Amino acid sequence: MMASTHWKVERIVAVSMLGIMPAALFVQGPLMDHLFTTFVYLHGHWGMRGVLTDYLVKFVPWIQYLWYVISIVGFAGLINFNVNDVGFTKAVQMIWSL
Amino acid sequence: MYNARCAQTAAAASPKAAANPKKFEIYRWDPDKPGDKPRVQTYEVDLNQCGPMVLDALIKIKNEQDATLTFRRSCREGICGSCAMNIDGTNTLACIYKINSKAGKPVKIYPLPHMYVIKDLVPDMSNFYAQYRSIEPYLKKKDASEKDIGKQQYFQSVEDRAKLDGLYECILCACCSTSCPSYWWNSDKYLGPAVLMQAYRWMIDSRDDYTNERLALMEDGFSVYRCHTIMNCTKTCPKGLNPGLAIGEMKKMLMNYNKAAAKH
Repeated sequence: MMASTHWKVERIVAVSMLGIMPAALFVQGPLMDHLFTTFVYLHGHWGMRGVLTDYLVKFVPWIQYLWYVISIVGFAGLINFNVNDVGFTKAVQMIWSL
Repeated sequence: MYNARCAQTAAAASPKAAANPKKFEIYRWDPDKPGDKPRVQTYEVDLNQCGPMVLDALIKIKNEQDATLTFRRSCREGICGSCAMNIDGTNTLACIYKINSKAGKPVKIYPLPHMYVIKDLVPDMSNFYAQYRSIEPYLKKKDASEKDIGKQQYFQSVEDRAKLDGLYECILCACCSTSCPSYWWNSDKYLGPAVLMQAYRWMIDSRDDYTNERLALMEDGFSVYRCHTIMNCTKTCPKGLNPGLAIGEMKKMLMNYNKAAAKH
């Protein structure tokens, strides 16, 4: 992907989070679970990757691949949680009803 | 004759006024002394016998106290960009930056941050100039050859010319680039605000035919995208320009340009 396209996608994800986050207060369900976790997770992944690129990749190049592995494993865990467990939005509701 | 020679750095106030001493703490490092470590040397200057700007004091110190003190200077009026240095924690031009008036507070002078130092306050600008060269900072035309040069003027509307205001005034002093944390860590690949603002200046020039190609030059993760809108560049610019805005505009242009046209 070209750097400019990547930047554009990053901005679209960041801006749509402004809508998705409040929407999750009113609409729950499997679709919202996946939408929410995907967007927030992508945003976090890119943010952290930016930090690594700025400060670390120059000195420890393998750290970027480690970050991909960590991200993929983490994301798989979130999908698993959404599919096989109560799902993200429900989990947040449960935390607040404690 | 002595008075005439020193007229440039002479005090505006009456020479009869009481002495007004000010301490100057200046970064010193001499590469010719083997094993020399950088140090801070303190000089004292009577402000009543000195001009108002930091450069006046530096010249006075070099003339009267320590001829080995090394710094760049040329125009002494903020148009050449030679005397860019870090004064009291701010990247600025010594010639247009006033000596701080706080009694008892020394003036601290260092070279531009995170640059290789050649000697004392003189930084190595080779990388900065090489980066400037890489963006091809000159008018480029399609369908024009060497022999067409000088045949006709390239006219520009008043509106198109106005787009260059706030960009062409840059004197490439590198105050902004060397204030940018991204440039500190990645100056090998990130172009830095000064060079990026000039790249943008040529992208939006209505007479230039290579806008798409110029944008395509930025297509990697480092050249422009290491800018995280920290805005130190805009805050420090001694000419009051806004490189941060120019980079933002460039990112907007990069979202939607003719990638196919850039390939030819």
